[in-house]
Amino acid sequence: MTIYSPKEELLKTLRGEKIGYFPRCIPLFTPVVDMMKAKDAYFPDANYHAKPMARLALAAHEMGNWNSVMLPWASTVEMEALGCEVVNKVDDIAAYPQFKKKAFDDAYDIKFGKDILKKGSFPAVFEATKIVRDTIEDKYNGTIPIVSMFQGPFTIASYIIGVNDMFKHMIRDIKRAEKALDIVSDLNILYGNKMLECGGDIIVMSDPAAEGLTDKQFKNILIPVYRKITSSIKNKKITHICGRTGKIAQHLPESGFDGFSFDYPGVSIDSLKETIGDKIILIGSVPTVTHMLEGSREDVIDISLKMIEKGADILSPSCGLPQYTPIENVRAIAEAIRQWNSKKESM
Amino acid sequence: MSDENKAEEILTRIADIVIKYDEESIDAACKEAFDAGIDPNDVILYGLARGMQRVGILYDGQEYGIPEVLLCADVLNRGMNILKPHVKGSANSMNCKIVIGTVEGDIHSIGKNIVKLMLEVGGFEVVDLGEDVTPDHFVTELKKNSGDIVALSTMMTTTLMSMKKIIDEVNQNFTEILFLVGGASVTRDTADKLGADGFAVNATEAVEEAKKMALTITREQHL
Repeated sequence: MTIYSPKEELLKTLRGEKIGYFPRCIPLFTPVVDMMKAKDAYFPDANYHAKPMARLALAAHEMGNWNSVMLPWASTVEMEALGCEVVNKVDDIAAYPQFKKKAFDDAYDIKFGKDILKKGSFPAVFEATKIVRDTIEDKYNGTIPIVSMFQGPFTIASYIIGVNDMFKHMIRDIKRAEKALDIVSDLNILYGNKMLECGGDIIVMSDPAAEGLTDKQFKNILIPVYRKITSSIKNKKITHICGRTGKIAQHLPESGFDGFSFDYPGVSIDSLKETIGDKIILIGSVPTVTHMLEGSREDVIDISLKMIEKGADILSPSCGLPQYTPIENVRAIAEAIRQWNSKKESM
Repeated sequence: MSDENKAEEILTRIADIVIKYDEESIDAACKEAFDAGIDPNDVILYGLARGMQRVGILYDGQEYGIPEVLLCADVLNRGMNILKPHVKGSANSMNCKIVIGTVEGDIHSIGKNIVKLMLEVGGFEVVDLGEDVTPDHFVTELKKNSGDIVALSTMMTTTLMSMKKIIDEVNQNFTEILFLVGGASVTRDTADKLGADGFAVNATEAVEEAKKMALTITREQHL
């Protein structure tokens, strides 16, 4: 049996190729406090400065055995650069930057200049990605994939013009909604491609607010925007939507994304296998609260093995890791993959 | 048509107006109910709230999304504003005061606002501290204006610790406050671990749970 590098495993799996064993990379990552302490890289610093951001990103592989690295993690990167008020708590090493105030009064006011990628924490993200790329090249012979994460158009649009307004536009003023999504998706493409240029191997687009849409709104209004984004980014792409995605997920095969990172138990792997399992790569899903945070190492291993058995193509946590998730639980996902592969090998 | 049938027809129509988020029809329908002599409290409960409960069911079944729920809540709100001034006696029929907020670090307001609205409709006095509410803010509010139940919401897994901090800090300052928790990242198991007294997955359940909790408060006070 040929053993590929974790990076090759991820890319081949996302292309739909069978590699003969379960891929060892765990693409969706957010840091936990044990890693911040070990890497001397705390929030808010690690969300705004390249060096601590890079050190903490590498912890996914170096401490969690995840065979992949993902950055950035804050959902506010784009919103802050677009002019939203974002605040950081200085006395809490684990607090994410927090959205405070929208940037625009109206969808038609949304704009950004040519220098947008120089604003907010964008430069830190690019610099950190380069550091991570160089470190992986030097220390791990380039075998570990770098996952570059950005927020999806519906989520960004909702925050920059106001969540209530954006949702209501989806019924009352579709033109306004489409206008907002169109401008934001331009930024998605610009930012996504720049991260890849700096060393990212694949894209994860997280669009949690899209969960609130009906199947019809998602299909008619959002899928065309997703298609615009995916057709403008060459590398492999995953989308992550948390929560109850049973109905909207059926349209994801038309979105141009290669993989869908789902949130169990918001949606079950059985139903996803049945509806879209042969059309899109399924990534997930170890529940972050009941298992990662509150469960034991064995609980995490059990549910991971169950996910593989039920047909997940790649494993990942179901959503962002709660920051106080114990490090042994973080490691347990990789351990489950190891157990599965060694059992298959001995068969 | 008997008065009773007519009343039922108007109430059903008001429920439908909420369900269909038909904002333009709500004023006239409420006025019609008023002219027909229907108790405004009944219009709230068997018209507006009944409609919103059905909206909750449609949302749970993923037939409605957040856009529909928000528009329905707007209609409900508009109806409440028309009817409230005419409600006889106390609007706080549960004789229970709830202080509600989304926990520190989390700015999600939609679910919390719907729960607040339904609690008000259900006869509770509700003080809304908004979103991103610190433990201090809850303690200060309770010290200043008192309260019986603290209702907390968080959508994100990354802010569950804030919920715990609020519960701990309120408990350090008060002995008789009950906690009702919910939100996308909260399970019953988590609620138990956090030391909450009540847990709900949606607005309708939140009202039911709050009513059960309110009964225990009254009983304890009378013992």
